[in-house]
Amino acid sequence: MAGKEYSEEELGKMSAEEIAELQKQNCIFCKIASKEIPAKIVHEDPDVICILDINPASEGHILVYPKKHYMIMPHIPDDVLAKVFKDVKLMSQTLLKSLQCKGTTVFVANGVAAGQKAPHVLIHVFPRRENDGLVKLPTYEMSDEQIIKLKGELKPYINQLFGVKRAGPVVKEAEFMDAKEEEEEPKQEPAAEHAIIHHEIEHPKEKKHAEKQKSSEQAKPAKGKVDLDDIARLFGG
Amino acid sequence: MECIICDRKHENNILYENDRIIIMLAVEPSVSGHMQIFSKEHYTIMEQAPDDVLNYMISSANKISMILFELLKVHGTNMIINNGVPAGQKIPHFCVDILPRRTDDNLKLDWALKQAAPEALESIQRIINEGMNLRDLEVIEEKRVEPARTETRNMDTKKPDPDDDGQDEPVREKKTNYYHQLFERIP
Repeated sequence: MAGKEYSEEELGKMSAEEIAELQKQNCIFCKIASKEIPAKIVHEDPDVICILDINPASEGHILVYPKKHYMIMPHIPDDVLAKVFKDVKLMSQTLLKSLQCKGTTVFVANGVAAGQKAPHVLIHVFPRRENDGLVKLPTYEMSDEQIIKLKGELKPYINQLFGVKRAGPVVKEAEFMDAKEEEEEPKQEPAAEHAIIHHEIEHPKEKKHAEKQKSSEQAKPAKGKVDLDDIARLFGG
Repeated sequence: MECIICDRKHENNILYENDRIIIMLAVEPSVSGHMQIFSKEHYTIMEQAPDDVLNYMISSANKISMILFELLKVHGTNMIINNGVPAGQKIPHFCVDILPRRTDDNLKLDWALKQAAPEALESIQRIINEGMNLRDLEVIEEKRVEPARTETRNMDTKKPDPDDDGQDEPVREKKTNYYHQLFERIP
């Protein structure tokens, strides 16, 4: 199962597919999913597994991943992705409720440059506390020119992706005039199939939320009874 | 509650919008090309968003990630959901962040790798398992009627491509072809 060791020279000769196959054979997370290697499993579905990270960013750090080997998240087909994120949501909810934390972070790195460490896609879900110093995103302010430039670069691709017919040609760096014109276009019509399936169902929690807000300040919830609305309400609404 | 997204304070940053999501350049970007996907309807945190909304947002994030890889030749992408104030969520509207990454961007998001003690892991596992068993964890939208309409939600349905339907088949064997074709479809 472990396979033989390959020299760098041999690896260099291999095709991308062969290397992918080799990585798959030696993938520790595939072995955890097939129970060849033990791990602290907290939840399992036919296609998805949730384990505790042995190198946690914070106490309660969970890894959610598809059992099938995918290297990066864009490789996961939508149907599997839906199952994965159903569990991500469940895990985040469980952390909020059972560990009494007030926030969670869902973190995915695609590629070594982004900080990916394993050749198997992993969705990190970990509890957050005030000033824990994790996943600090520095910020800068964009100038109007930068906004126009980026929009010119990205908008055509994204419009294409969502099937907007009116998408202009791909704007090269030297053709920013096009980008400006495109901005003045009327709002794009959403793709037809999206319009049809729009539906409105009253959200049961919203009602509850409104009622709760009326009853002003509430006592701190007892253990195990953390209300998600309280977490949402931390924004001072 | 006031919300800068619902109040459309940053109209200028919007890249794409339909009846379910808004994709925009991040209001306070970390790197050039930092994008954010918001749900059109207001949900403050991820747990409040119904599964279909969440899935659509994640699947869009995935496809944008692919564009960044294939067409803008970035070296990596991060997808981050900061959920709640302590997690650094700045806008009280659930959003998915997508960051294009390059090896020389000097952005450090990783955490120190500290091995956890087996006992600590066991006790956490117990707490989490207890929490999972408490089925008062009623998943918020389980009360909602879940219409079976996953098919229509496929963003590529407008451009039928025989290979797109092959997603159920083993992806590994087809991967190269599939992405090449996808690549060719986008100018």
